Amino acid sequence: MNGMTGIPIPRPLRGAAMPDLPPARGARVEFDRISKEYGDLTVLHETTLKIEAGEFFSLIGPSGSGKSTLLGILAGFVPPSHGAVRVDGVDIVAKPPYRRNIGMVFQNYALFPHMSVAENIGFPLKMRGCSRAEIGERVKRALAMVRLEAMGERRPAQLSGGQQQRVALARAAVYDPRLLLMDEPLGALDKNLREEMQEEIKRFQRALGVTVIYVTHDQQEAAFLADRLAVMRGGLLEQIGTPRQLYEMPGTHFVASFLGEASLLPVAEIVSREGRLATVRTAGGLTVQAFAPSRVSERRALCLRPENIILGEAARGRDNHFLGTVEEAVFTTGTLRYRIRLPGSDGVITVRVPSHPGIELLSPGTGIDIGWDAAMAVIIAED
Amino acid sequence: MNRTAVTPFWRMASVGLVAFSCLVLVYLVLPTLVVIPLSFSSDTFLRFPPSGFSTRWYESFAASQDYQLAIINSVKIGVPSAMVATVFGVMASLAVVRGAVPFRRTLAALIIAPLILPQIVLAIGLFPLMAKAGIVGTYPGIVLAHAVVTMPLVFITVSAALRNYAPTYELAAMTLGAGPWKTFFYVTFPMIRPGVIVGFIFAFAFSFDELILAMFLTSPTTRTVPRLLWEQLNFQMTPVIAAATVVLLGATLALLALAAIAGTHARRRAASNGGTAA
Repeated sequence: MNGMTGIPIPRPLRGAAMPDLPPARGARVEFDRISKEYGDLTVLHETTLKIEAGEFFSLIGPSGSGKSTLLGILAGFVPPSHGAVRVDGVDIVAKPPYRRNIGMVFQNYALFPHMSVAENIGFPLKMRGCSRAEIGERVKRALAMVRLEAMGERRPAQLSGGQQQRVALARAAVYDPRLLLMDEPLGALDKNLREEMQEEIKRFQRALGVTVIYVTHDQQEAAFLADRLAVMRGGLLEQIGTPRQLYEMPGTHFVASFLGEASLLPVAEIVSREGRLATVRTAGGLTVQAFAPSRVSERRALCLRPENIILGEAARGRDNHFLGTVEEAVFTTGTLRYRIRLPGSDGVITVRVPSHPGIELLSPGTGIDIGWDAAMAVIIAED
Repeated sequence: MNRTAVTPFWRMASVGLVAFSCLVLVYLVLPTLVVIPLSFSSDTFLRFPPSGFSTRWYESFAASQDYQLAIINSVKIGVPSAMVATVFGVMASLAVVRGAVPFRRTLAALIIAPLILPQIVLAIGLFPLMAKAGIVGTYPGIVLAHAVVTMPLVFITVSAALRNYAPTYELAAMTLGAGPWKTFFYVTFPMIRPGVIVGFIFAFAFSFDELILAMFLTSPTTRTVPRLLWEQLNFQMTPVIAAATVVLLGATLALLALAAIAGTHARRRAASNGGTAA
């Protein structure tokens, strides 16, 4: 449990200073009022988005949110209905995919089954008219980079999923594109391998200094990998920021529940407000000290993260303190997960407490002190 | 409740299916095989059962100038028509399966139509057109006609091969710098090759066996084996016809076996690529 009291000053929600980036070998990408319609169906509303050189940028959202459309527009598979896409200031909308010099890793890797691993990696070089000797040399280096030196003569089907993934990475990077797109590249791998590959991809990006745009529906993966991420929903960018900003200061209900777990209490009224600190009354009748971002919309809710809520004795000294009732208690790996009913009619919130042998799992029906500091309850926009 | 009612029904249905298959075998396949004893007949006329055994009709088949010419004609017509059918069939299936063409279903149905339409209809339609163009009785005439009826076969096998894998491979090739032609040459074609080969064999076999268009559009100098057989049936009725038919049957079966081998090979390869081809 964290024993922090007082209100930390979170960084502003948008326009935050860029995180430290490696020397810029990557391309700068700019979507300028891009949109895509199929007849009457708008799959991507007007979107403007800038991605810095060398940045690891992730697009996340449920399927149908427009993230793959945005990536397809950048790769050249999907012609946008309106707008421009600039890479290092040059509009590429009219260029076919094969003249864009953008690397792409696909969900199922798309390794050519009739070619060996070395032929696969050499393919983009062959298309660029490199000499045999140069292809051999660069393929060798690329294989070393993904630690598959001995696998050059194998067919893709003879490799494991993780190895195929690395070949796909090597093939997309062997011609030194300054921009790499990845469309759910780890979607087909099991959990342990995914985590291993995440590390690998991050190292790879750091080493090359390329700009990466990474599409995924896995928010944990995105948070781990990305310098910044954009949450998409229904063809719109819902929020952009660093993973921490989005998690700690979600702008909307959707973002709050898409990234991690959140309990949301509808807010009936803001009683008073002093800078970032506000006193609000919830729809269920509780008076709560909460954190108010600069812009607060009409319909709003309190966002509570399960790991920020304190149970037991320690809850008493917090900005907000109530007496709750345990409704449900389960052990999940590493944490005890409770569903606790608040007084009033706000209902049930989720609380996670680190699990260890010295802690007892409370049984349902137990009354328990529950508390949190003002900074842990962020006022967000309701949908 | 339903289970007791359904199970005996399906048991009956499967018995029925076996019985039906046997009938098909008896009525359709056996008569085909009757030509084998006929071809070894020692009689001078086609008569069943033959009164004695000889290989004289195979000898006279081998010695026949007419048959030699007809076989050469069949190959001279079958190979180019299968090639034309393959080129256009591949292009058509690329457009319908991968392309962004409107009304694909209608288009696919139209492409397959020549195969389903009675050939006599096509023959009656083509004859005046080709007569006008002055190519009745020439090689180009019959080659074109056979290409039209065999293209659906290539279209079907190649479309199936294309549907077998996701278009991601082509997209990947494009991001890697391959233009449309190089993408086809290095990626699409190697992946659909078995389908193309099977389609080509089917097209050739079809052309080799086809009678109706050949009757309308070939001349005595360009006549094919089926047409020659037909003419001989009308005039001579000697067992040399049976011998020729057996040879034709053998050639067709060999081609179909070849197609089956190519198909199995492709399936095995697809299975071993299961992980990536999903």
